Amino acid sequence: MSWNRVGRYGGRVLMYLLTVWFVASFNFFLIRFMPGDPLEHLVGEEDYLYLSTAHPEVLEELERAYGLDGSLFLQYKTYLLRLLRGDLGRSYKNNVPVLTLILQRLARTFRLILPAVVLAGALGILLGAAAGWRPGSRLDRWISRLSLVVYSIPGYCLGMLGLMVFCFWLGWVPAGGISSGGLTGAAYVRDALWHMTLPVGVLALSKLSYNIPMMRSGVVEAKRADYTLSARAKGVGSAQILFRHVLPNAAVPMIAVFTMQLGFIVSGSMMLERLFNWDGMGLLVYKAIGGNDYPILQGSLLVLTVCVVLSNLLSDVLCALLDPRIRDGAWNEI
Amino acid sequence: MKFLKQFFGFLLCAAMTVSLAACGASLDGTESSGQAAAPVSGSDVELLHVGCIYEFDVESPYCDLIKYLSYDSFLYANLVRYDADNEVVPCLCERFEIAEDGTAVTFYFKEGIRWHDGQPLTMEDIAFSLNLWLDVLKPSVALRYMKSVEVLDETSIRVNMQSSCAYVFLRHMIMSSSGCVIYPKHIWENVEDLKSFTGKAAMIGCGPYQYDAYDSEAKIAYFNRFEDYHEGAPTIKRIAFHLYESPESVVMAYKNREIDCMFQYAAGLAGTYVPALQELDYLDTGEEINLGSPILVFNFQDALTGDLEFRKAVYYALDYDLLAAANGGEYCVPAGKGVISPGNIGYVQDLPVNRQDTAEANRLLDAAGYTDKNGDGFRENRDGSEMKILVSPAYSPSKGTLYQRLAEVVIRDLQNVGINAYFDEKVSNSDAWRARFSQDKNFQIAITACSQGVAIIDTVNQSLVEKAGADGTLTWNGTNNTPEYVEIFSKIIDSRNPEEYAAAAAESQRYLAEQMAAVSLGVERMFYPYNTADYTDWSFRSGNGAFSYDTWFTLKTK
Amino acid sequence: MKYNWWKRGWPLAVLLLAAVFAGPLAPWDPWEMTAPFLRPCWAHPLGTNDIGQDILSELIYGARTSLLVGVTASLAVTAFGSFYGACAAWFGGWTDRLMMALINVALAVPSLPLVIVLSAFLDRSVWNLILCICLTSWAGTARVVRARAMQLRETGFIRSCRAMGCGPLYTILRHLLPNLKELIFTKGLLSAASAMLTETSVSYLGLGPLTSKSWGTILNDAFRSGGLFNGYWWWYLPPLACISLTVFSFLSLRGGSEQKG
Repeated sequence: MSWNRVGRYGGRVLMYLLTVWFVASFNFFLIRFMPGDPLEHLVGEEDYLYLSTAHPEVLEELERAYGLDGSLFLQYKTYLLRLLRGDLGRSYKNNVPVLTLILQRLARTFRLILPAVVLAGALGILLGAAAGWRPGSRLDRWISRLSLVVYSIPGYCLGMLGLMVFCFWLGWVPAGGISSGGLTGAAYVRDALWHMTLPVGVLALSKLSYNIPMMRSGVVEAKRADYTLSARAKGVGSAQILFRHVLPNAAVPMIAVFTMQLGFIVSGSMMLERLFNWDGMGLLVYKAIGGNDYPILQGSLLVLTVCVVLSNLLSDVLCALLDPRIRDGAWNEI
Repeated sequence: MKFLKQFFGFLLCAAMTVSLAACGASLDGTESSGQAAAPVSGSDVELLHVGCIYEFDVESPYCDLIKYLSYDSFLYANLVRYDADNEVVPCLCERFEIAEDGTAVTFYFKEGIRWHDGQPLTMEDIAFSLNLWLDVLKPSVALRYMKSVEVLDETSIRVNMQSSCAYVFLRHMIMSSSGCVIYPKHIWENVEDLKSFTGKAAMIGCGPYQYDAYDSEAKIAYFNRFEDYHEGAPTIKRIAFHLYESPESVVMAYKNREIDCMFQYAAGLAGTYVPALQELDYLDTGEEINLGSPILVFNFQDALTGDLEFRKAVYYALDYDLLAAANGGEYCVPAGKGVISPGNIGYVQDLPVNRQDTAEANRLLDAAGYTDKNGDGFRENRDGSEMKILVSPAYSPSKGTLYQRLAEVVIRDLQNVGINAYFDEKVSNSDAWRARFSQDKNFQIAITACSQGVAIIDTVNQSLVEKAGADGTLTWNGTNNTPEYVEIFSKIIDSRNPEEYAAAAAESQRYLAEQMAAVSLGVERMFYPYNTADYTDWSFRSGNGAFSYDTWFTLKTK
Repeated sequence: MKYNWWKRGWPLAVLLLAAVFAGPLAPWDPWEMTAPFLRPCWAHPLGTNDIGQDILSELIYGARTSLLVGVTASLAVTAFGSFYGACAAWFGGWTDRLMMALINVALAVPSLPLVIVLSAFLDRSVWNLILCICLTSWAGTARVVRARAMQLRETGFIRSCRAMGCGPLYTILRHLLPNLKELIFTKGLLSAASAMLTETSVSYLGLGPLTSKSWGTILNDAFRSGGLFNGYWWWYLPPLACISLTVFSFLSLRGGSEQKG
């Protein structure tokens, strides 16, 4: 590994760290300047009003306990130091460490997202290749048109339609939740999958509609490329050209794209989580807004950013591993 | 390239398995969604499924679900509880006695009461807990009312009050803030940070049910009956609370027959769900009247809304039918004058039902001198200056945009009689609204609700009155500090028995109606559906539906 | 070509007309309250909502909010983003690296949660919402424009411009950006669609502007009133269709420009 490359990797990682720091600071200042005293949520509104007139010393004590006193700079310093230790604070509502809450929810969100991304990726590559192999054919026109239509429907609207048809009319799937409870072993797995069907299906479908045109244009491009032409000139069969030359060349960049999606879907699944009562990050944020639970909001925004950053990193690494062209340079342009 | 092929193969396989398994599961799931019929009729209930919209966030008294269950003495028993008509009756104690002057209450206990871990309950436990309320928890209920706790002997304890408010203190302590429960001293005495102490030990109480487990993924909390409960073991052996996120999902759960009834403190399902519920023949819709209501509050410290004639004009300007419909469709009807709802203590029968009368509103405004002096279509103040009325709706996560919708209607109605009312765009979250409503008091008309809990504890008046507590600090932070009103409210707080309380509440209702201190925007019907196909002998608590303390001891299989 | 544009753009044109002429078009004033919860009938083709407002008129006025947010945000984002990207490309070196760093930061911030969190705290006005949307979405445009401008910078005519001593601002505005107009236009359409989507999402969550009519708000009202259970299809399907159709027409316009380019 040359020094040059170390520098490039280093710069990249530095970039990501900068992003996280930036969001952390943004978080901090944003929430300090919001209306309302955060303490109000520690003791409840009614009690806060009572205490602020009758027993202000109690409030001061609480202020100290929660690190809300001192100058802004001092608070900022404490905040960053705490972040470094992985301490995102405690929820105002029930005093549970925010990180614990978030990690638990994040795992559930990933349970929704991973299968969706894999499904959307695999089907996207397949259908995109089918469409791009003979551009302008009837198959291509149908696939492209359908994917555009689906792409136009926002995920939560798709989810609503899905709920309406498959849950209310047909009764095939549950209205929401992650599992029914009280089950073990195979029954549990089946039940969990049953609950996953609709949300994962909806999420996969809406991502699929994004992946298909991407893959299609990749295939069209690869077909025009020199190596395909020369393979054809050599008299290689068209199936072999597809699987040997076109598919791999078009699909590899796609894999990086799909990985990159991962981070954004974590935040994008928010609306779906609310619709399907999927107790993940989205619902956590949504409920925290209702209760003005600042530490959770701060922590979630930060963790969501970290997710995006990590998935970018993963995508970088995958690219470098899979694609020799990128491995050798020019990957800043992706 | 081999690697790539393998990779694709893997992707494909994964996709296939997932979709296949999903299909299989969906077929399976529909078949098994029915429930096994109960075995012998008239026997104890093995497992009752209860739906609710709470969180089970921590294993401690601070848990969201436990807090509300404690109002009914579920896991942590209260010294007293509400009976079917929301009157105070003994629960953990055997009887209680309010001192003649109302400044103290003495609780007497039976012997042999046990904690869930088998330890006996002592007066030490109760003194420890009440002192904890006073010293550490400092919630309003303790500081507003309690002064000190005295252990009298092995089976009795006396609580001294700040003023002669012992009876209202009892009403209040049933629904006190989270953490205000009776703690087992042997577990909690060495705990430094109450809120951070969690786990099974923190869930030891002496109520009729003990904590078993929480399935965080399926969001179900399980409780078993406590065989040694001092009033005898309940007839429901095991209860599973299914926690949902929204009323919609509770309705869906009923549809799938996942739950037999619901527990939602002071908030049943809205009337809009009734058509969906009526299709389910295993259910009774469990209709109850909401003892609280959405209300329109006037700021008495504002020159305009402090004027009775103006308030009356506003009263006649409102379209009560539309306001009620917006709130609950056909299951919400216009209320009467005065704000205390039918079914609650203090409701007065003979007050007229609210009705829109635009002509009367215009007449009142003209007579009071609020006329359109510059011809812009809106009325001006008496001195000719511009009149603007700020209508500020409350923000509530559970009610969504309901108050904003009601405010829109109110503004339209006021504009129809020439009052230039406008929507409060400056405030858009519950914090900011609270600050406006209770601290800055810079609103003119507020649209909010009197919660059922408040309505039961010490009536709607507690959020309207501005009054200092016994120690001289401002305790009730409303806007109305007219001596007459403060006097009436003091009567409520200092009532020594149910009769005095009811009389004072009724007096306040007449004052509210006459002085138009606030206007009820509708009498809501709420629905707590319960399973009548499998179970029988449900008991009800007014305004709270079928899942009541009494039900735990009466419910039988059919 | 003209024909093609019309063919692809007509839904958007219709929408634009509806937004502009909402007043005369709408059968009712959408804030006027009549009988609540009416089913579709002659007077109210799509029924009325929970406070008796005509749903069809709400939808027509809703086009205004959606287009206002979509177009304004997209104009701001595209103008700023492309100028930023072109500047980064033009100056190159450390300036470029620093500017790129900011782009990368903005790209990594998850925008929907940010907008939702912000809109929960700020005043709920359309303009605040637009501002929140703009905060992160300029970066996508900036990055794409920068990448293309980098390539352009090395072409002959820009080089000769530089050799002739044209100022950076002049070159960027007169030569660099006009040559990227296809790309910028495509990106602009995309940002308009995504800004619109963000607006409807936020309104659907009940965090949007309160008194203005928006498709997301109508959806939220329909849901709060049990629309899905009670089968009020006339209440929740039309806004759904409107949202999807608008996004569709933005996207298919983009397709047109791509084929041209």
